[in-house]
Amino acid sequence: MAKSVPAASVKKIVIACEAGMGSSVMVTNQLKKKVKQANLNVQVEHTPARAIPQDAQIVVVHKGLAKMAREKAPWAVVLPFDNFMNIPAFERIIKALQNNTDIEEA
Amino acid sequence: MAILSEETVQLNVPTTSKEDAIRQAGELLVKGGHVSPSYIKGMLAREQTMSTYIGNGVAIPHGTFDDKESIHSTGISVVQYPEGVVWDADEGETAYLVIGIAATANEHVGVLSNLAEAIEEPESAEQLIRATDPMVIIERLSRPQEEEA
Repeated sequence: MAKSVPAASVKKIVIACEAGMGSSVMVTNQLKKKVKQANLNVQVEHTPARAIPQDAQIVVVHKGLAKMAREKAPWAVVLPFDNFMNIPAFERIIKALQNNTDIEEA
Repeated sequence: MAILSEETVQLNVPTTSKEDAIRQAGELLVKGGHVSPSYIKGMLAREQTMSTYIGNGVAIPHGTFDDKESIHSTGISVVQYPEGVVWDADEGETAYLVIGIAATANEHVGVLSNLAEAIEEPESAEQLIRATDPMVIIERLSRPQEEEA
């Protein structure tokens, strides 16, 4: 069964990569802007996959690191993506937060 | 110390292998005083575990989590290859801009956010790939960001 989190419980979303200094940094502002445009009160941060903060409910991560993210943050919903230039999970998260629905692991 | 400066930007570099391109991006970081030479080994090793090609002709080689001790200060280097460097022949990936990254904290969030924006559209990516003045690249990547971590 897919793990999920209700929109109302989402306070922090992290974008993870291996070192936490390259790709995750690049895309964090994209999600921050979307969150701001939608007037949502959710924190967005970037992080190394091995150091996902305990208070993050959602982790967005490249599919190559999804396994590590799930091991390191079993409490979080992990949403993997293929391509840095196009992360469909961002739209999915925003929509779910706006409509107050659950966010499920794909 | 500036994160990105004329010292760490090199334009119109003849095409080479992916490994050499990573070394060139790393050597600029060494020259800028941002990393020890051993960081370059970390960049090469990191690339073998997962490609740092991010799309639209751009790769962002950098070290791993464990290479952070080789970093003296956060820095970004830019090497421009007008003919491109074959990054992954099977995937048809060619990098025209190779952006070396060394970061200890979050000072480079603005530069990388600008990079993400600049390469989102092929036309603006093209401006960076065809730039003949390093200041064009430095200015585009140093714009103040609305949102910064």
